[in-house]
Amino acid sequence: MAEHHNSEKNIFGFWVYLMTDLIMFAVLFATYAVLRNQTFGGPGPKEIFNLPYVLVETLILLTSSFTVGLSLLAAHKNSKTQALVWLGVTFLLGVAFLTLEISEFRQLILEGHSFQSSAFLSSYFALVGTHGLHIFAGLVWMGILVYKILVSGLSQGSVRKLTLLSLFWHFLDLVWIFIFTIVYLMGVI
Amino acid sequence: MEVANHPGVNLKNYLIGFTGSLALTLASYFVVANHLLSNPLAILTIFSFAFLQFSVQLIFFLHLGKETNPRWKLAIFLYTASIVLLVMLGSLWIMSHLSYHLNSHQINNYIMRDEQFKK
Amino acid sequence: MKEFLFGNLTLAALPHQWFTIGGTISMMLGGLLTIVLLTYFKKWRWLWGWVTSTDPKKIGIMYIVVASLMFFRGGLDVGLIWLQQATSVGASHGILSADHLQQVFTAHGDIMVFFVTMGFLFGLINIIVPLQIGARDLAFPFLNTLGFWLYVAGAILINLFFVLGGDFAATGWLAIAPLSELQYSPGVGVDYWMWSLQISGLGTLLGGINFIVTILKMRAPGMTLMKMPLFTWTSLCSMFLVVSIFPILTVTMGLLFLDRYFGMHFFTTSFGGNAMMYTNLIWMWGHPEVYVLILPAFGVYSEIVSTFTRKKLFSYTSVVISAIAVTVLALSVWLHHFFTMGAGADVNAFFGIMTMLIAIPTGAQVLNWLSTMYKAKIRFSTPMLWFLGFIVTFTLGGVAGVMMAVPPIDFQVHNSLFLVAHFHTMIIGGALFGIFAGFTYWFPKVTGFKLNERLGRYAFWLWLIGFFVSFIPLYILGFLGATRRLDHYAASTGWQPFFIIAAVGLGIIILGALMQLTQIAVSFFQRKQNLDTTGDPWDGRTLEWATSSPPQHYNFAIIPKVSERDAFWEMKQKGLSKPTNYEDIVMPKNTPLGIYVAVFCFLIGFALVWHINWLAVVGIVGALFCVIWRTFDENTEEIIPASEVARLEAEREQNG
Repeated sequence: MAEHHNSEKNIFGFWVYLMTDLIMFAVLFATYAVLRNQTFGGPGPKEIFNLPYVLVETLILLTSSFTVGLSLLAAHKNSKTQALVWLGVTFLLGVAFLTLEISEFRQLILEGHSFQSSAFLSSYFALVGTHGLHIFAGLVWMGILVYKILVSGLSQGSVRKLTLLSLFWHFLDLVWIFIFTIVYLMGVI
Repeated sequence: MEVANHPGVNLKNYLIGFTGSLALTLASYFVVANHLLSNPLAILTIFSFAFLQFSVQLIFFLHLGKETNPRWKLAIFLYTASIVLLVMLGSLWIMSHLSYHLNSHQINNYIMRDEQFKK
Repeated sequence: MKEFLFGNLTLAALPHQWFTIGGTISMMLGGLLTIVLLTYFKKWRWLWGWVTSTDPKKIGIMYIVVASLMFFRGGLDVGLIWLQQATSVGASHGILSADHLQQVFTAHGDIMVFFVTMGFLFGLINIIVPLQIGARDLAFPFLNTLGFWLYVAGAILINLFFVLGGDFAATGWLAIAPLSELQYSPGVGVDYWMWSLQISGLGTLLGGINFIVTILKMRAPGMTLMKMPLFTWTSLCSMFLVVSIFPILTVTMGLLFLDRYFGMHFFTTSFGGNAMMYTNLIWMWGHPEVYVLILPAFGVYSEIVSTFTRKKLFSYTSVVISAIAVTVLALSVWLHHFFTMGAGADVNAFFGIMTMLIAIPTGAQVLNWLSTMYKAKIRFSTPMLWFLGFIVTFTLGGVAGVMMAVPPIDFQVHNSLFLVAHFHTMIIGGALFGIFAGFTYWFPKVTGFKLNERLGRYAFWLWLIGFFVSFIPLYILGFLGATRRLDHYAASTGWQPFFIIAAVGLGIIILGALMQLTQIAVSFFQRKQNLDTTGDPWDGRTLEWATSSPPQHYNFAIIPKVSERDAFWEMKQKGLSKPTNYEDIVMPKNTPLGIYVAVFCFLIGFALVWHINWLAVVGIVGALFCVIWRTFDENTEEIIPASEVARLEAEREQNG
């Protein structure tokens, strides 16, 4: 009973945290929207975004959002192996996403379109980069959780943390929907 | 199979959420990549798809609205959503006005003078 | 190598002006004295118990102590400002250089808002809210100690330039861009500003989340939302504002950091950056912040009016609705801070109207308090005096606010001393008087003895008179055309007499503050005469008075069951029953991890101010490691057995 109550409190508290994170992203989106046309004579969104590449990123992240759900489902059914396998898949997909994003950034900088080149690029790097940082944090968290489950099994505490992690990961995919739409799709229309 | 105490965590929900999101992502991609629609309509379409996908994921991935009463998660989410809209639309409205009336050089000079600062 | 180790921190940066050297020496002596005293009286273990505490009552007391110290620090700044403005006229240029005065202005504003008012409020909320809702601790005890220590880390960082040199931001308390950009403020002042607020702001945000969950999920059985005490209600509203706006502040300062540190272009004057976006974002935080400060004060007044009239508050429901309306409206008025900066008529009209609308729910609350007092037998104890002082000053300030909500009037008085007088009326007459009222009202609950009434009355009158003598001249000066942050003015303006009167007013306020210190000291030495043995010294109405003063570590031996508003009043009407059998109580253990994380966060801030990159990495890794360590700790709670509870309660009974 007490444990259940604690777990409910934790999930609710984490939810409130996610909401504050949502507002942080809203500010970054607003900044991007305001500065989007301030290219300072440099390239605009149309010239630098590679849509098929971003589609691949998007699909990878979406799939990982699905697999983290499967992991939670397995944990609820008390199947440690399945939970770990799906968590592992999610981790790999997350790494793949982050790698793609970093090489996208690298490519842009190599082509001379760095975050210092214009207000548009600053706001683009800040928005997408903050999302990337969140993904990175999620991966670290995932790694620790995998270790914990390996060591001490699917304890109540681990399942609770997995629940929070899955919320976090789904949340990052939610934000990505709007990055995909507002930054990339609208950029090339 | 529904797991006790965790409403909404079931395979069916995750499958619906995944396929729905997949379809909506691909749909907006094809609208843009193939230039299927002209400008205002295209933006309207991809935004509708985005909001639809947002709702799909909220319901089927984050299980929003499935908690027992009182639904604080839902209430706080709606509150936050309104603040997000306020931040976005408010900034855009204000900033479009400012850049209509003043260019950025004027704005900077104005702030420096207005705030009483000496260089 | 040297640059790698110390970044931009060089010997030349160390203090070399009289005031910074003086600051350094006095701080070092103070620190040394503290260490000697602690060792001599063998109090290290006792101190450790406080430092690692997860008890919201202890954390609340520490908030109030730190806020008081910062009040002293911010007060010194005020003294410098008034002295400068009273003397720097015509041929005389006063005691400070223009640039130094701007730094003092910035420090004064930030310290008073972030570290004094916010600190006092978080202190009161920490102590009182759990007691009022019949809870034993907060939802997340670790986050509470962490939040407090982050607040302390921010407070140290904002004062650090005294010790380590460099300078402070000469940019005004919000560091408006582009002035705060590297191009115009190349020193470390803005960085100190940024990291101090960033770190303490993170603590505030954690506190906001914590109290929302606590109030929504941990109320005593039977206490529905509409039966909550009003201080809890307004604290909840205030915390909702905190979680809505502090993320905005975090990102805004984060973007400024990216501009300054990585050469990006959000608010710069070139490369397409837009400085107005900074103004827009910072006020989106800044305006609601004022309501974060004022809302809990409203709650304090509601409690006090109802207690000292021995009546139910007039129309509880409308007070709650008003508080919620203020919360929502507070978020949609930010543009009125920059009416004059180039928006069109429709934008200004919209935000002007929204601003005026706030007067309606605020006025409704004032009417509710007055209606409660109507035909009541009022006890004019000190808390009630602070309330009456508030009604007068706040109404005056409110009317000035509504005037400025009209854009054409704002064009006349924007950034004049009229504005300065207005917001000081709101923050001193509204929030600070509320804090003093709450402090006096709840003091016996925390310490077990009441404050001296006579000295309290003296302090109140000194403050009230001093306040008016100080700020009425500012309203007039504003109309005469004096602008804010003046370092010098011509003798022909004829302003000097007003500035001198204002300085005299400040002197009276200082006497008031000294009187408060005397009041606390005298009350402490005479505490035997003023002991509160019942736990209910004012004939109170809400649950915090249902337990002993000071409350046990676990607040309530038995969680009360609530059936009515003013739950304790109802219980007293029905007759109190002594509990007989107790149950085991689960309480959170103390933890040092909060202060460890805060130390690492402090290092991050310090490192980024001076560009010492390795230290920033150490700080980040250390903070993360501590947090992860905490998540691995499954053993964070301890059980107080029922027998122990019974023993403690019996002991209390005998001593009481």
